[in-house]
Amino acid sequence: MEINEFINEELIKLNLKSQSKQAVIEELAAVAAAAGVITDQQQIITAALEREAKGTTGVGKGVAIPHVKSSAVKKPAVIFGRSQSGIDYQSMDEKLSYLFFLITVPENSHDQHLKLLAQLSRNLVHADFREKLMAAQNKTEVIDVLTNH
Amino acid sequence: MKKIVAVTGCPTGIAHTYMAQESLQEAAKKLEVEIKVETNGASGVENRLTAAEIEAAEGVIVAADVDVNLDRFNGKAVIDTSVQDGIHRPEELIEQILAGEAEIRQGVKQSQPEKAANASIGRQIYKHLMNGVSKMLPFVVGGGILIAVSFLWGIHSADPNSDQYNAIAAMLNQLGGTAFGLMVPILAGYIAFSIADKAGLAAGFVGGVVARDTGAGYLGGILIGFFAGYLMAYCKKLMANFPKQLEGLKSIFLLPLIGIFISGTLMYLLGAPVSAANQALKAQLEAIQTANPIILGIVIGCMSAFDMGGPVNKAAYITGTMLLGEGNYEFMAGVSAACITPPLLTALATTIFRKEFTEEEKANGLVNYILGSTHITEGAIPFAAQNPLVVIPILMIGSSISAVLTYMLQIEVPAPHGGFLILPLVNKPFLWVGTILLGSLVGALLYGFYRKHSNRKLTAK
Repeated sequence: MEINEFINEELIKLNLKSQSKQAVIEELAAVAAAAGVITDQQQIITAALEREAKGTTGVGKGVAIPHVKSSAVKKPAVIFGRSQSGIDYQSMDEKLSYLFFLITVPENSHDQHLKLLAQLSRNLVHADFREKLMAAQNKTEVIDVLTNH
Repeated sequence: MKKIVAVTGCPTGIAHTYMAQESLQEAAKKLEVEIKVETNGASGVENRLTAAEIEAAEGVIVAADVDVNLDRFNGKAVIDTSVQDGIHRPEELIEQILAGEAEIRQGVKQSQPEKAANASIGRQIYKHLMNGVSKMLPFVVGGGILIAVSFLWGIHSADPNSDQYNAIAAMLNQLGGTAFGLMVPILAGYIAFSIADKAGLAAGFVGGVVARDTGAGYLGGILIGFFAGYLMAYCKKLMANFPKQLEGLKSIFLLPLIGIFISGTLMYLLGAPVSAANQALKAQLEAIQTANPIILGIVIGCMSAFDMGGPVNKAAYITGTMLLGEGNYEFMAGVSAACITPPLLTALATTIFRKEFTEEEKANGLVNYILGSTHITEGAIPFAAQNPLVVIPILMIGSSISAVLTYMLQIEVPAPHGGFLILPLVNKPFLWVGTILLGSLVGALLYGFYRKHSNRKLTAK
């Protein structure tokens, strides 16, 4: 199994319009709904916001990884969004966030899914990985970076 | 290369746990430190730290927003912080450990969970039992000696209605009694503590107090200690995924409430059957008081040594005092002999087989000469409690021999307590002491050889 089983061009939005935390979660959830990986958009938004209430997933270094484990998830997916101007996501380092990964996993997720998502999280720690994602020209390049890092 | 270990964890266990892991590993690489990071994520614990790794590490970084088991790090330098710090300040954390700025985690250094998981169930139970017994021991020794000292003013010196009454003796006796009263609760509490840490202590201690008050004795205490410990360990496991914000509510409110309620209630409910058993035994005993001395001696010996202070022992003792009132002095002589034997037996065993016992046990054994001579059976409890399945039968054999011989020689003891201090009142004092010493010696040999055998087996492994 590879990371590209979780992500495809339909799940990528390179020019996020949102300006706030709530808005960006809603925007990403809408992408997920349009691509058909979730059944109930509102439920996903609520669950993601609940997770944020426990502690921000704006992990700093310009990255936020809102995530949801919910029965409203049809298949495990990573929805990637990018904002060129940056969004105030109430990040741990109090800086703006540019790269967003909405991670959705079903209630009874496979260990293998979790391991792949763990690998994505590990990659995000590396500056060159983040820089390549920021520099990607189009969706194909994004998937390329995610798959081949 | 210096070694460090770390643990990361977060509520959902999907992202932060692994980012912190990666950050710490990157930082370690940069600082040229070897690191192993255990992750407590949604797919469970990965890279579990082993006892040897923890032992070899300079220190421990715990970057987690969920409850992780910290007791395994007792005695190590530990930084306990949030998962965010693990992601953002990994280098600082590692440098703090290397600079020796982290606080040493207090608490008893315990064998590691991974080790405990490998250890046989028997080994684990023994470890928990010993934890309770070692905490109980000071209460037995201190309390026992105070009671024995109070007898120097006469065996009734604590009784205000007696002409032997002495205020100092009464106080000493009361202090000793207070320490004895804590014995079973401490035993139960620390068995539970050993199993379930802080959450177990309250449940076990309260269960132990109820066990004491309902007369269930130290065997009741051991049972409730294990019950409370495993109950709390189970509850902790059920609540392990509670978010950290609820941690306070869980450990300060929920766990103690559940634990005290359930184990207290259970022990409380057990009170009725325990006292029924006690009554039934007393009735049986009265019926056989005129039986053949060998049978009576075996019954009395086994009962007295079985639970020292529990319902079975008390049935024998109380029947004895009751029959004293009816002018039957022989019955009590056997009971006393059987009650004096267990502590003397352990005292002799630790003297004869010095190499087979720990320093602590030898000290306990020495004190047991005094406790045995003054009919304070409780002195043997620490020995019995650490290995009841073997030691209790040995004590029963010793006590039975003492009691059988006492009955066969028709010895009469007219006082219910006092041990050898009441020898002047005994009709055949030398013979009586002789029967007790013989029973104790046989038991001591059995016990000593058993220890020798089991110690050899341990070292052979």
